[in-house]
Amino acid sequence: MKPGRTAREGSNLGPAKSRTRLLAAFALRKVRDLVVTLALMSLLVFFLFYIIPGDPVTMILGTEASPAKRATLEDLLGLQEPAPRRYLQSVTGLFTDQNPSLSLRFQQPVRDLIGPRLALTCRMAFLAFGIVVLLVIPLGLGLALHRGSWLDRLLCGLGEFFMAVPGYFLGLVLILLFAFVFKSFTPGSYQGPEAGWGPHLASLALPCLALALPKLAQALLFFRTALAEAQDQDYVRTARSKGASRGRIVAFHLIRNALLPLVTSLGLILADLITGSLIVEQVFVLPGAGRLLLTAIEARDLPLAQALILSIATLVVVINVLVDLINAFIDPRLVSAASQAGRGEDAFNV
Amino acid sequence: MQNEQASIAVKARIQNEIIIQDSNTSRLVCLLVLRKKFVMLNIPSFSQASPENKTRRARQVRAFSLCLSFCLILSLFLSACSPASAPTPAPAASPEAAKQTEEASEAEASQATKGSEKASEGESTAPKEGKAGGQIKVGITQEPDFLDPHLAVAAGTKEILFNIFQGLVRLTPEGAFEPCLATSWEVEEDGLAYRFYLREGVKFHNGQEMGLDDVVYSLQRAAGLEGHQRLVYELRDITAVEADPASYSVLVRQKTVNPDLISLLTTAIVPAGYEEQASEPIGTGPFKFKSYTPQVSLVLERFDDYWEADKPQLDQVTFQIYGDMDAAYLELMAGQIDIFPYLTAEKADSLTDKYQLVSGGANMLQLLAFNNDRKPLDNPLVREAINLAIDRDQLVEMIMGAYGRPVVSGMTPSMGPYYNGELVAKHKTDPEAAKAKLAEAGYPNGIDLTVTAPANYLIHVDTANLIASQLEKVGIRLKINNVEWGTWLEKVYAGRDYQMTIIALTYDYFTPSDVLNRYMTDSEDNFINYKSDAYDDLARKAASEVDEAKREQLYQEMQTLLLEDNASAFLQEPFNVTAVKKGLTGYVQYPAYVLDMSTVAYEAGADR
Repeated sequence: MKPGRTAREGSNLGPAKSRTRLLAAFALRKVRDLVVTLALMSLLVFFLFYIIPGDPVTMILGTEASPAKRATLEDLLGLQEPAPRRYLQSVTGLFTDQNPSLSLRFQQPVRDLIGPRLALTCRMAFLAFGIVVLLVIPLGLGLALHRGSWLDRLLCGLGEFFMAVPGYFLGLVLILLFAFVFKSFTPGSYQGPEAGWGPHLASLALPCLALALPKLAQALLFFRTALAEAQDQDYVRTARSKGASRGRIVAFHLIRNALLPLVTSLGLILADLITGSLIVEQVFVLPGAGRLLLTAIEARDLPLAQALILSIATLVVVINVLVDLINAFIDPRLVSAASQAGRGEDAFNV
Repeated sequence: MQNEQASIAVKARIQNEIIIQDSNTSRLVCLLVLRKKFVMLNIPSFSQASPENKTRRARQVRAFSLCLSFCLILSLFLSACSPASAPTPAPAASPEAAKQTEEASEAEASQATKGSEKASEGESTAPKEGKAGGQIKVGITQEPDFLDPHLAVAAGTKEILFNIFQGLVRLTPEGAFEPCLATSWEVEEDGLAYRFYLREGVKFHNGQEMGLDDVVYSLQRAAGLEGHQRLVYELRDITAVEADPASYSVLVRQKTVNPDLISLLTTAIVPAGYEEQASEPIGTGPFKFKSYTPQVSLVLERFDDYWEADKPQLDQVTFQIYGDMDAAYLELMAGQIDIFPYLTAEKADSLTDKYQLVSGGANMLQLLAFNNDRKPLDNPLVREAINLAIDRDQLVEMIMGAYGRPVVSGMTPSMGPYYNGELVAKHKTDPEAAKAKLAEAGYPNGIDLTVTAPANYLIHVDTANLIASQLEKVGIRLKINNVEWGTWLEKVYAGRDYQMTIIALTYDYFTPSDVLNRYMTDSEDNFINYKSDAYDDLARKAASEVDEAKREQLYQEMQTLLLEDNASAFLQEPFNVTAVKKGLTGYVQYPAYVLDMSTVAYEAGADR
C-alpha cells in the first residue's frame, strides 16, 4: 500500500518524510515493547517453574527416585549448574547452533522440537483466519444491507450461539457428527505435510472449522454492528442526498469506515486463534504446540516451555503491532494525532 | 447390598467427574489469564466503546453467559448420566466375565506359543507365504523418557525397548528367567561370581557381530566400572566384569552373595563404544529402531538378521503416542489401533466387538500407604482398624470392574513362588472388629484422617472415594486431598510429608528384593517410614540366601510381617487389560511391564 494514497484524506499531515519518520519511531517503540514484554515473560516463566513443586528429575524418576539416581540424572541433564546460568543458557541457546538449548524431557534441541509443532499450530490458526476473513465481509455486508430481514435475524441468532460455544467443544461435536453420524471422517487420521498438501489440508479441515466458527460469529456480529452504525451517520445521508449510487456509498463510505474496527477485532481474533488452536488441536489429537507445551509444563522442562511460551508471546505481540500499522494506513488520522501530540507514546493505542 | 454398592460407585464417580472438570477448568482459566495478559499489553482503540456499543456488549455478554450455563448444565447432565449407566451392568456380569478373560488370556498365552510354533512350521514348509509380515499400530499413552536402555527409567519406556534390546538373560511370560544372549550360566566362588557363556552368531542392528568386548563394555557402562559413570543404580554391587575368550564367557563378580543378580542381568547389551544410543538406539532385539517423533510415534522395523529363527513375525510396529486414553478412545472405537494396553475396565468392555481382551497381572501393587511416623498412624491399633475396615473384594469389583485381584501384603501374585498366597485367605474384612480396635486405641467416637491422592491418576482418586465410604462405616472420617503429580512426588513421596496416600508401585526389576526391600528401615524408598528390626533381618538373610526354597520362605515371612504390623493397607493388583484387534494372534501378557511384539502376527486371511 502506498502511503501517499491513504494520506489523501489526512487533514494536517505535513511532508511525507516526517510521516515515515513517525512510522519508524512507532516501529522502534514497538520493538522495544516487544523485547521488554518477552524479557518479563521469560523471567515470569522462570520464577513460576521455580515456585511450583517438582523438578524435571523427580518427574522422570517418579517413585524410583533415590538420591543416587537423582544425582546421576541431574549430572546427565546438566542440572547441577547454578539456576541463573541454566536460565541464561536456555535463552541464548535458542539462537546458537554450537551450544543449543536442549529439552530436558526429550534430549533434543528445543528449536528442532518446536519448529514443526508451532508451524502446525500457526497453519491452523491462519487457515481458520482465512475462513473468517473470506466470509466475514460478504456476510456482514449482506446482513447490514438487509437489516431486519429473516436472514439477518437467523444469522445473528446463530452468530450469538456460535460465539458462545468454545472451539474445543465444537470440535468434539464435529468429530461425533462427522465420524459417527456421517462416517466421513476418521478420528486420528492426521496426515502431515510430508503426505502431500491435499491430504494434509483435508485432515485440518474440521479442526480449522471448529476454530473458525466461533470467531467468524464474533467478527460477523461485530462487523454488522459497525456497518449498521455507519449507515446511520451524517456522511452517508449526505452522500445519498447528493445522489451517490448505492454501490458507491457501500464501497467508499460504509466499508471504509467500518473497516477500522473490523481490522482491530480481526487482529485480536488472530491472536485468539493462535492460543485457541493450542486447545483445539488436543481435541483432534494433532501434533501441534499445545500438547508439547502441556508436556513441557508437566515435566518441568523449563527450556522447552520457555521457548514455546516466548514464541507464542512473540507471535501475539507482533500481530498486535501489525494491526496497529494497518490501522494507521486505513485511518491516517491516527498517525497525525501522534504527530500533533508530539510525545505520541500511546497515540496508536487511543 | 447390590444397590448400595452401585450407589457408592455412582457417588464416587460423580465426585470424580467434578474434580476432573475442576482441573480442566482451572487449566483453561490459566490459559485464558495468560492470553488476557498478552491482550492487555497492547489493546488498540477498541476498548473505548460507545454507549450503544456498551449495551450491545452487555447483551452479548448476557447471551454468552446464558449459552455457557446451558452448556455447563448439559455437560453436567451428560457426566451424571454416563457413570450411572456404566457401572450398573458391571457388578452383575463381571466376575464371570473376568474369569473368562483370565482363562482367555491363559488360553491365549498357550495358544500364542502354539501359534508361533505353527508359524515356524508353516514357514519351513512354505517360506514366503502364510502369516508373516504386515504392520501394526500400538497405542501408548506414556512418552518414552530415554531411548538409551541404560538410562531409561519409566516402565512405559522399558516395555518398548524390550523389543530393541536384550540382555544376557530375559524374562519369560511365565515370570522366570531364561538364557538370552547367554546360552547358560554357572555360579562360581560360592555365589560371589557368575559365569555367562555367550551365544554365538548374534548380530547388532548395525550388522556388527556381538562379541565379548560388547558384553564387557555394556555391563561396565551400566554398572559404572572402569571410569564409566554408573547409569544403572541397581548394578552397584558388581565389582568386575572379566572376559574369557577361551570359553567365550564373561565372569561377573559381585560384592556380596546375591542370587538376584540373574534378574539384574536383563540389562541391555549394546555395541562397545557406540555413543548415539540416545538418538539412534542399536541393540540385538527382534526389532530395530526406525524413527522417533516426540509425542507422535516411535517406529520399529523387523530386524532380518535376528538370531531366533521364527521371530519377529511383523514387518513394522508403530507405537503411536497419545496424550491419554480418552484421546485414543475415538480411534479405538473406529478400530484404527491394533493393540492398546492399560485400558480401564469400562472402556475395555465397550470395545469387545472389534477387539479381544487380554488381561492379567503385571506386578503392579496398589496400596493405601500409612505414614508410620505420623500420629495417629504410629498407633498399630489404628492401622489395624483401617486394614480391617477395607473391603478389598468390593474395591476390585468397583474400581477395576473385576480386572484385578485383592492383595493384603507387599507383594503381588505375579511374583509367583515368592508370593505368600495364604495371607489373602486369612485376612477378613470385619467392620465390627475395626470399631473395637479403634475404641481400644482410644478413639471410641471415631477419628479424622486425611488421604492425599495424585489427581492425575483417576484410579487412585476413585479408590480414595470408595475407601472413604468404607471407612465411614467404622467411624473413620476420611478427608481426600487431591494433588498434582509433581506435588505428590516432591511432598508425599520424597518429602514423606503426608498422613495416608494412595499409589500404585511398579518395579524396575522382577525380583523379590526389588519389591520388598523398600520397606527396610534405612531404605531410601521406604516412604511409609516402616521400622522393624525383624523385617530388616529377614531381608538381609533373604538377600544372601542361595537355597531357592529357603529364599522363597524368607520372602514369604517378610510379607506376613508386613501384614501383622499393618505397615500399610495393601489393596489390590490391578490387571493390565489390553485390547488386541481381532485377526491378530500371539500377543502375550507378561507378569511385568513388557510389550513383546516379536510373537504377534496376523492370522491367515485376516484383514491387515
